[in-house]
Amino acid sequence: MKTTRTLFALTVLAAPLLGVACKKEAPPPPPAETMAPPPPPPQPAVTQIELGSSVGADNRVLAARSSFGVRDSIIASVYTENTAPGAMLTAIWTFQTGQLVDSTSQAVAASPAVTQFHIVKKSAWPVGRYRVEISLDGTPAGSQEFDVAK
Amino acid sequence: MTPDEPLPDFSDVEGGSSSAAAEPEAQNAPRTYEVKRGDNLSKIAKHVYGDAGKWKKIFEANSDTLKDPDKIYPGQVLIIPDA
Repeated sequence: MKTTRTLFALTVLAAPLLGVACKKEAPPPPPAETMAPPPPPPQPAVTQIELGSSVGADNRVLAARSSFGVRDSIIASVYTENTAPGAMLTAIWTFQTGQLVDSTSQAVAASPAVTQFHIVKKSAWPVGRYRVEISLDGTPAGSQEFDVAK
Repeated sequence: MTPDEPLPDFSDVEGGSSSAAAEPEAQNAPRTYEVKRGDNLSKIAKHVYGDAGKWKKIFEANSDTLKDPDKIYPGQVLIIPDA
């Protein structure tokens, strides 16, 4: 009986020590969180160019077309995003091998924006292939080709 | 145009422009395309997507009015889904 009590007492006394001995080492503290680099600011961009003969009040062409009649007005709706105040769009219209038809620049409204460029001709348009090139702040940003046919 | 032909006169061309903030609903409104003589779905897909192979997207978006992809008509207005 005495032996049993002694063993019990030893076990009770030793338990905390065993616990300490077996205790796992605390994991090292996590490294200080490094700040992820901020995402780059969104780049200004021309997202879409549509051609047509008429636009709504929102400057969107009502029905996109790729060919026009010789008496049509020709309109390009240019969609832009992430532009800074004062950003400038330029439309350069050319005929066939590059003969200049018209060039117009326009400050872009608050982003996102739709900017319309149009050309009209008092006499008939020469039949053939035309191109409108859009640049944003002097950087080429897109183009569309279209035909004028009788 | 032959090399001897005079260059066309564009001196009577008038250009103009305006810019407007895009209305959110306008951004989300479906695009449309008015069919011209000589168009076909591949040509339209090439024009709007830059990929003639995407003609089927246009055909499917207009399945309520188009029964045959080879039969489209000048003046018809097609819905152009996002690429």
